Amino acid sequence: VVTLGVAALEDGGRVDFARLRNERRERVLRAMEEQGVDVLIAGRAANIRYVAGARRLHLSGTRPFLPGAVLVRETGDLHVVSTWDDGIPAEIPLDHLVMQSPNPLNILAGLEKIGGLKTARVVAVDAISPLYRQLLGSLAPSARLFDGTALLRIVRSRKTADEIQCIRTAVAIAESSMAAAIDDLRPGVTERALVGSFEARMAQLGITTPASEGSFCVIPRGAAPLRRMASARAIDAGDLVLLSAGVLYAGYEGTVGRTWLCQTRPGTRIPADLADLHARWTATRDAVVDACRPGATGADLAAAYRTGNGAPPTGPIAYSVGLGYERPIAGSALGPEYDSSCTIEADMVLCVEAHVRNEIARHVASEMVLVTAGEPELLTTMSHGPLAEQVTEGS
Amino acid sequence: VTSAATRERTPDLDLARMRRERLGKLQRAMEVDGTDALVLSGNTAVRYATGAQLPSVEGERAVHEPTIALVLPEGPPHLYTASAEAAPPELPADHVHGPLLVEFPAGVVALAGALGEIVGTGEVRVGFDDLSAATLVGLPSLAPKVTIVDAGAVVAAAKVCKTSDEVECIRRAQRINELAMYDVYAAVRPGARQTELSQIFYRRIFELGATANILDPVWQVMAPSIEDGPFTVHGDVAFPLATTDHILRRGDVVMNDTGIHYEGYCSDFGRTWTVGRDPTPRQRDQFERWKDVVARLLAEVRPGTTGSRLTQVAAEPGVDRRPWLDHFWLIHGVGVDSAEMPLIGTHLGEQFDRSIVLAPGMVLVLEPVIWDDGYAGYRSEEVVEVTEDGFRLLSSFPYLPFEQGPLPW
Repeated sequence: VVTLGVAALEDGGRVDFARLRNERRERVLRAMEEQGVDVLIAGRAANIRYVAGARRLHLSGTRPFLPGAVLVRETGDLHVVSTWDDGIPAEIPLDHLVMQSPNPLNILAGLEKIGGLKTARVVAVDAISPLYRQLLGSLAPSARLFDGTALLRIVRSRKTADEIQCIRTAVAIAESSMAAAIDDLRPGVTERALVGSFEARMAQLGITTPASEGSFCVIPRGAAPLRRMASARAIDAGDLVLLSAGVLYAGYEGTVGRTWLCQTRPGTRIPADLADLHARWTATRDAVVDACRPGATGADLAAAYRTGNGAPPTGPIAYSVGLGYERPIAGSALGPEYDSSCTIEADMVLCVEAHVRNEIARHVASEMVLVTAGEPELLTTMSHGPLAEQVTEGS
Repeated sequence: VTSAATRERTPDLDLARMRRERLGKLQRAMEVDGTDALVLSGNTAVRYATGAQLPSVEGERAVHEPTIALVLPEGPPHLYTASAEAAPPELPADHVHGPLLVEFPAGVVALAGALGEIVGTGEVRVGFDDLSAATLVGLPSLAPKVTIVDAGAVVAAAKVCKTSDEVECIRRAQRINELAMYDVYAAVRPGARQTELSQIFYRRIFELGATANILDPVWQVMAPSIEDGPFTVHGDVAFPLATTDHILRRGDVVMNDTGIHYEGYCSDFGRTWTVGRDPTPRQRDQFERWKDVVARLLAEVRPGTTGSRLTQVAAEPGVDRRPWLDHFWLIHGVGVDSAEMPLIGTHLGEQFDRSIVLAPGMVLVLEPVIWDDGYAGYRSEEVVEVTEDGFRLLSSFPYLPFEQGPLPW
């Protein structure tokens, strides 16, 4: 039985985080074994979280490279760069903490003590700065550097049961937060104020980390490009508004995207052409979601999108989600060849974004989908509001 | 309705001028360093170099949907992005390109192509702020004549002294952050949860015009002694710790740390609050000691003062412990990054501090911490601009609950 919420339960219900961490680390070690990687150095927050389970202070955007977790395959030994043990799981011994420092040489001195690094032949990193590239030369002098992002991308792709439970929880929080933003959506509210409505509700539910501060943007009429960055613009009655944002629960992302009509009085009838637009959006969404089955490729999803009469996409049609954004699956700038190389497997979680338009309006919205051995499961459940209600009324 | 045009220029802020002057500083720093090109992918460096508008997203989305800047010593930068909104209006259309997805080998091939086309195919020295793993592994063979160097020093040199428009953005960011904090402060009472304070903060900053929040707001309840707090590698105080659903109790000492963006510039807000109770005489004494440290620092903040002079005057007579956290700094700069050069009082060492000389346009965050082990301590942050003849305060939030009125300096 799925119970959604963020509090621990005394019977050990909800997510078993010790098992979650253990299974993730086992998967990483297995992949290192298969690919002949001796040591993995993770520098990006999501990868540090995946490998070590470290709950660190969340900062938005890219961060300058710093080594954060070092995993040695032979011993399974895990060191974490953290000045304290708050947010560090109990299985990591205190003498495996390396002090954070503004001086890279101090961090280097801490890492030098890690057994197995000096003699490593293959060291995987998920990113690096030119400075650390140089420093790594003294840390692991005989090592060949390996693409750790590619390694972790495959490892992170299929989710464990506990990871899926985290994502379900994140989706529930994201939808509740979006509902709060929709409650505040009325003529005169600014786009940016809706970001605040979303995040305030998120924090009320106990989560203070947005996955993205999102798009709360009036959709331009006609051919002008879609806007994705909320501004100080006041929303007016009759505006179609793109609402898209996400949250991180234990690092896992739940995202929801909707196109919503700003009405003077909620519940008033909407023009037939908008109802038609939503019907077309639903058809496109259904076509892509139905294609999210084991064995299909990103190219199959792109084909389903075209069959479903989707408008030329403005971003990927589908991307993989876990500890934040993982990789595009279909419709990205990497092109059709890349899409063909992305095979869908059971236990992947995808975010599917569909986009349809007519002469004056557009409808853009996204769903999160769990790939299973059988039917794909929609993890997002929230309604499409005024646009969808009209369809029900008319049919 | 606020259009982009009205936002772009007001009497005390001209964003187009700010972008132009920043790029000029960066290109001069490149010239001094002998860098042929910069490839910047860090959000803050890209904003700085190009004025690109970037969304506020978690790190993995930020690297997988990148906006990358290619900067030459002359002429407008090139911007590689999937976003129709990223490029500022003055950037020529032929300098705005599709995205370079450098997390993937195909993106690295495209990056090598862009370098060849725009920087040239000869021997070149190119500064990078970050290398994706695919770039690290793939670029050397795809672009054998490119020497990869670290862009950090060049970018830091450009950023360290702010233009008047940059300072104005920081001032506005700080103002929004502080105004939001009045509502938060009113909610600090026994029984409130840390996350409820974040809830109020999030709602207010966006109502007040913040363009983004940059860090998970910190409302740390301090253990009275280091021993009672988290284990630390260096034996000093653990701060800042991530917020949880912790419930505030009467008598708690809360140290906070928050920061938002206004047009890409950061605020930095830090205060110490007592919960449900007036400060004790001991806490008042801690605050007075903290004020004394700041007063001594401010007396020295003017062009020409060195970082090591500041660490000297900060020291409390007769007290062994330095009045700041060992893993941080006494002073840091603030700009497009929430902590940037000049860093003073860090593990970079005494010689590094000596090499820092204050200059007009630097924006400093003074961050002393008084720690009285067994009785917690006092920490606040004061934001100041170094001017031609001294300093100007950019922060103005009162030192509640210790002092009600205006700032003491």
